[in-house]
Amino acid sequence: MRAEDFIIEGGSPASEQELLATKPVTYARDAWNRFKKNKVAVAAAILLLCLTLLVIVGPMVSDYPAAERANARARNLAPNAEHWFGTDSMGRDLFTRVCLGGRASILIGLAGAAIVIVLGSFYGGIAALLGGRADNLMMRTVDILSSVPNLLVILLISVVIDSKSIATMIFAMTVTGWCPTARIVRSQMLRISQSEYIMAARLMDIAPIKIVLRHLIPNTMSVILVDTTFRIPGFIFSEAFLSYVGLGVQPPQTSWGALAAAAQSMFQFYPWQLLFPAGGIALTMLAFTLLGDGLRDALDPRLRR
Amino acid sequence: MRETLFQIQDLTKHFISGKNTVRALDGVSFDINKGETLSLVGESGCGKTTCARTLLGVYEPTEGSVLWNGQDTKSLTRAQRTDFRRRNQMIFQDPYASLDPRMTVAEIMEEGRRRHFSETAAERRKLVKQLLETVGLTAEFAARFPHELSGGQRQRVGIARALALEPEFLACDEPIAALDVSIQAQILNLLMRLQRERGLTYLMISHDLTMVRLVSDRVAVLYLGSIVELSDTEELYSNPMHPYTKALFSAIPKVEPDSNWLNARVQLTGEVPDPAHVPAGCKFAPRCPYATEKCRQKVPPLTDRGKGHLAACWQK
Amino acid sequence: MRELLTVKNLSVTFSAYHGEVKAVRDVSFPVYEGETLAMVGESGCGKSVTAKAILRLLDHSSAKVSSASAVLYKGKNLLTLPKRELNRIRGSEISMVFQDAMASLNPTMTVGNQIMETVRAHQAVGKREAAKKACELLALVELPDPEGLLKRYPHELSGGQRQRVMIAMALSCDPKLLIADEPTTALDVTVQAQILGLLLKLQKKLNMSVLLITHDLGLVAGVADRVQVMYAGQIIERGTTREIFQAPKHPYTAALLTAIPRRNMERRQPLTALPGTPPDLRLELNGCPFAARCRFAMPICKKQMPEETEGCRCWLRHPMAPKVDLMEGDRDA
Repeated sequence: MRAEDFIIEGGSPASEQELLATKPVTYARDAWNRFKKNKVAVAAAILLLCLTLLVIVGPMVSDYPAAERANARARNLAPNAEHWFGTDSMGRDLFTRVCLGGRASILIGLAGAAIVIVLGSFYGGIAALLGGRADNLMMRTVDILSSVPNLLVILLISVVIDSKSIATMIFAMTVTGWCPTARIVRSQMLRISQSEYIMAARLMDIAPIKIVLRHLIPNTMSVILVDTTFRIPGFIFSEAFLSYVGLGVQPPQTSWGALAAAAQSMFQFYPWQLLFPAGGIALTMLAFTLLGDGLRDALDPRLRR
Repeated sequence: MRETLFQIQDLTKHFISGKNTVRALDGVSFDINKGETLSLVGESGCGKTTCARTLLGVYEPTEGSVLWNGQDTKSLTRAQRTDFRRRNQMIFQDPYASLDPRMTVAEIMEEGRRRHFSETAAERRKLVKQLLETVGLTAEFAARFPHELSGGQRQRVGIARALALEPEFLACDEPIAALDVSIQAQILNLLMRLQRERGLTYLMISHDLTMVRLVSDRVAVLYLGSIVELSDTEELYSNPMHPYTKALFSAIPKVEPDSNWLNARVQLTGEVPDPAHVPAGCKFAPRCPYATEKCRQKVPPLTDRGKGHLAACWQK
Repeated sequence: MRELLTVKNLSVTFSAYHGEVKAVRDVSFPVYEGETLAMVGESGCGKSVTAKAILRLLDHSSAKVSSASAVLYKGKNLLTLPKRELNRIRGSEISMVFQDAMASLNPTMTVGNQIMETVRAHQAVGKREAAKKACELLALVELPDPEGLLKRYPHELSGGQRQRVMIAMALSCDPKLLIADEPTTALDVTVQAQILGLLLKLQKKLNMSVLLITHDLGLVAGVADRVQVMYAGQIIERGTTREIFQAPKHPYTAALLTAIPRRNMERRQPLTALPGTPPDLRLELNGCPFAARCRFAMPICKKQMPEETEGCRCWLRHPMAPKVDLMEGDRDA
């Protein structure tokens, strides 16, 4: 210890300099950093990516469409080097079928979610913005619509339209499916419009349309994103269920649900025929749910300091 | 005599919630003079925040009026209303809730500027830089997002946002209540400096009586939506007349060794009643140690007790 | 005075997504029998974490208490005690009151049932006896009409009443030590004075020790016997209330005192504000954590954390350091 250590020179508040040494962290970047820390969610995201790649690339490596053709000499084969997932009762390569079915299932999931999110966000957003009586009327409509059992609507629609295409199915699933999204978006928008930064914007005489575009919508996006990831597995499951009971995808097209339905009667003898499509459904749903959980934690402003 | 900026006349704001009418603000009248700091003090539910928000037009008043430079704010033309908005700004209590988390500091500060001033982007950027320095930050903060800042830094950004509009009047709603003690002093010093440099008029809303004493020219004490006492700061602190004011003062912790503030206080029992069920007569009577039958039946008027010291109490 | 509770070398770290936060750094202190000890500091200084660590109330998944830490009570280390024994001490010998009474009370249960439940958890008494005890407790915390109150739900009470109920529950088993974590922060000024007055009165009456955690140095005067000031997870100064208020030894304590407006100040006189903000607790601190904000900082301060001398961890106490007046310009009448 030397004397020159004891000369008063005063401090220099460092925290500002500290901040300046780092790069600006955007909201999205901050959320991404938090998301990265969540091992389960990252694993789920990677799994989803792999599954998607598999269903896209799979048929290419398996000599499609030759593998898709019926082959009387190779019926109900167990998984082997040539047919990785075995073959079905018509001798078609199951690996190719599962990939093709996966394409349909995931596409239906994405399309269904996209439709309900867009419809629901618009409806909920408009209800929140109009407020008062219009809001009340719009939300009571939602209450009534969502009180009708979902399955009933889907059954009715497929009977009334008398068509069993994928488009019909998506229409049937989304016709009331947007209601929960509308509720979520409306309540988030109302919550934000109560916040002090919106009051500050109003006090600065910012036009309402600009408040909506600049504050309300960006701050609702995270909620919408999380909702989307939670909705996708729901649609995949609904599709599987409808195909399973024979209302969904029709042959020769296929989906995981249709594959599982076809395999079900022979389950005791050829369990792999059910196992692979069912596994596809289960893995995808699980991955989307875990991803949604991770996203919600990463985007939740309450965890923010 | 100073010029009057705001004349608040019999301002009343009731909120309807279900069957109850919450009488948040119940016939409040006072003036705000140019260049002064008027403080509204009181406990939660006394209507101080409602008063500031009604004054600035966030809420429609149920009754009464606000005169701004002699003109009723209800009869402002469109252009005048825009002008009113620009000249009268607000500082919020919670620096975490009052900044949009998706915007950079620069975007937050430029938002109002774009609305009210026509200037080039370069001019705006220069102004943001100047303002950041005015509030004790540096130009590097412009690209930052609110979540990267500490509470005190956020509050500075909130102040800079208001200053960007070159206002004349700031309503400060508990500007330091959410901050740590050492940061409170920084923000308070900043607000006092800005007032000195820019000749701002403040309406300060606070429950912190030591802070109020330091910054205010005049103080109005609110209880359940009514002014119970209004006077010059010095006069009020040296000669409080209303029993509620006395009780408030005696509840201030004294930062002195061996202070006996807890035992020396004016005993005040109970708590502020729910503003949805306001007692008849003097609202303070149920908690007042000196209340008489008259207090419980008739509302005492706010009367001048000399030197412009107003108090609403039947006791002399 | 006998030591009732001793905290030894307490260190707590939290794992957050952005790194390890060293919230409490090697804190040791005793609580004496029958005293009120105030722990003062700004948000994030580790005062609340310390209090929660004593009763092992920290979330296991994120908080880690170092193995060198010990909390000794009657010769036992609370940090290593089996869960059952800890539960017996928690509530019956050491209890805690929190800032947010609404969050600590069960909204679906009447006040009476909640107090009775607490009473019966620690004492083998019948229902009727527990009800009688609950009544007595409510009367003890000076709530009017205790019988009527037993049947009420928490949302029917005011903030101050709820906090009184919390205190009544904490006192149900005559604890030796009451830990009060910001008990009045959520309350209005006049109610705050009532609750503090009550705590003080009960402490004398029941002869218990109180550990008062607060951010408000002003509250402490006239309430506490001893004060310890925390900064960045360390106790940087401790002493009797009189010593702390009259002659603070640490520049931080002095700065806290001068940052509060005083009665004898001129109108609009600038306060002696501390510049900057507290340090990032993720970082390893080499020198004194306060050095960057300290107007008396010396080169040594940035290199090494000083040892405690006469209850203060500051290099200004070192014999080689120059003598300075910490309250410079603020000491008047």
